[in-house]
Amino acid sequence: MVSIFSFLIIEAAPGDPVDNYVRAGMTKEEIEDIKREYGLDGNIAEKYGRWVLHVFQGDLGNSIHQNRPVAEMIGERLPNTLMLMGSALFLSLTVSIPLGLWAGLKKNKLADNVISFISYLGISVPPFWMAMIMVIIFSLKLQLFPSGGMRTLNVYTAGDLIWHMVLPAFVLSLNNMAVFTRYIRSNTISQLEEDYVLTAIAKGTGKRKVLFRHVLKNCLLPIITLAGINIAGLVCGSFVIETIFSWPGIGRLAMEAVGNRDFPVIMGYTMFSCIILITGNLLADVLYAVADPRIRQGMDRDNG
Amino acid sequence: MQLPTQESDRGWTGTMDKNSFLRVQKEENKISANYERGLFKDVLISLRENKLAMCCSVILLLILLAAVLAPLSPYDPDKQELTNQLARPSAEHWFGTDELGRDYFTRALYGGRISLSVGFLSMVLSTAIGTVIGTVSGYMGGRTDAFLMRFTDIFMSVPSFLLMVVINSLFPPKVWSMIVILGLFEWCQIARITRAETLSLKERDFVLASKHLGASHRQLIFGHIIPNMSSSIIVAGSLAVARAILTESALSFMGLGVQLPKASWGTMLQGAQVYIMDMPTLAIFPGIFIVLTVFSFNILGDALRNALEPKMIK
Repeated sequence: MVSIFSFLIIEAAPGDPVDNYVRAGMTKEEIEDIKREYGLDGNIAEKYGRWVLHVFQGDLGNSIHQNRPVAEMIGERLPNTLMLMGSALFLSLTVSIPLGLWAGLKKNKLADNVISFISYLGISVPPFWMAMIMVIIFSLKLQLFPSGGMRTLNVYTAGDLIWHMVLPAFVLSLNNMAVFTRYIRSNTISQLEEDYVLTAIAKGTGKRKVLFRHVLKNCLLPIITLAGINIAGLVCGSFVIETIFSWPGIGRLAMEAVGNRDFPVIMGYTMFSCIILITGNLLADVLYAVADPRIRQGMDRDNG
Repeated sequence: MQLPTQESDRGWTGTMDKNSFLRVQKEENKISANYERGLFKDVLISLRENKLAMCCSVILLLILLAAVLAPLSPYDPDKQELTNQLARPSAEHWFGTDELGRDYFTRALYGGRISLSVGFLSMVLSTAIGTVIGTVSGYMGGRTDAFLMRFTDIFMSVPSFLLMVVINSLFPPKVWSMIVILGLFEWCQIARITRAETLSLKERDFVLASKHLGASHRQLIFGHIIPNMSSSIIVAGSLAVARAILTESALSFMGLGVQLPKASWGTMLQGAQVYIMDMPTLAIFPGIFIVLTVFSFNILGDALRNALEPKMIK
């Protein structure tokens, strides 16, 4: 029980180091920045210290390029990014769970081979290339979906939004979809060999019930952790995908900032990405504890 | 298999005894033959059974050969032929020409040289770093281990792609700096794998034996531990090449990787983005190269894992 608890702490711990590390990286970059722009590297520590202080006061500084508060710029775009990431995560889960289960059930049969092959492809395809191909097929040739943007001008309906979101969300979810599918497949295979499945079948429980009541539950638990880890992939992916589909999220903001050498914005973006990451990991840990009674018990025992 | 016990021996005739000895001897032969075949042949046999992996190694070999033999192409990758811009694929120009009239097939081959060398070299770098850190961490144990592993955890939880973007946007990247950056951010997984392997290897009898015979730390690590986990390193390495090529192409696509006039596959895709309307083939061909290469490395990596770790097969 103690080991599970300490595991939880280690799992949750990356939160602090991430921040520390990114800031440490920032100082170095800031050194270079100052060196290049002013030709001196006098009071970096002081400047950096001021930046950290301001951050804790909720002030991310002003954008050099647009002369607006960075926090405001990020704030107005953050919901768009979160929406895109959330729908991509949802999509990848809803597709990969049934596919993975099916492949695991039909191990080494045709269905499994096809699904495994596709999931290998899904891991190997660069998302930005997939995005280009999608635009070529669905926007240029078939004219089914818009090639970019978030909504048609002056149209504010949910349907329009979803219509614009289909392609970017699909491309963003592809990688996770493949990873989850493979994971659920191998999990299903190993779970089906467990004794409790044999017991359940021996007791006369229906196959369907065993699969959905018992196997699925045990397969999904690790997926929570996996999803938490893969949020990093989502953040990086959204950076690329938002740029290609000109989705007005923080990833595109950062890309523009990189082009303009707008350092406060880049730093703000990196910080926010880390916050998303940490929150995601934390959420995954909490969810895991809620979902898995073993860990919950371990925590109770440790606390009291 | 049940060997005849003493009692049944006495009850049976002599000929039966000989038979059972034969059986034992046969099995021994099989095992020793297995050793004589060596690791390489073992892997080859098991790969031959996996048709997909066979296909992938052939594809990979072809791409590698094409990249190495790129100078044999009749075209110069940088020579511009402004009268023949954006030509469609034809017998003369297999993939057509790009916006400056350069032969696209030749450019793709030279791009493959850069993509593959970035992928390979950064893999070598990250594998070296990862192996050293993982082995030392696992071998030393104690406080060193705890410190190195925390360090690895921190590195792992950092969104490396973002940092690469930030670094590359500050320093104009060159091919060698891409290799270094990719190598520096990809070693964590290998460090974890090698650490786990070291932990189990250093308790094995043969390592303990040579330790008690007075082998030095260096001899133990380089002579016994690292050679014995070479198979896992190879597997992790082939997956790392795939990852490095993907990351490199994404960075180059964003304009933050290999810079023109040198072009990797990602850089070519970046250039193709503008002409996506009239010349989608420009976008399709380099992408197919990337997908084939990465896909093959992934499949091969997994096939190798299955071949090298018999317990994984079942």
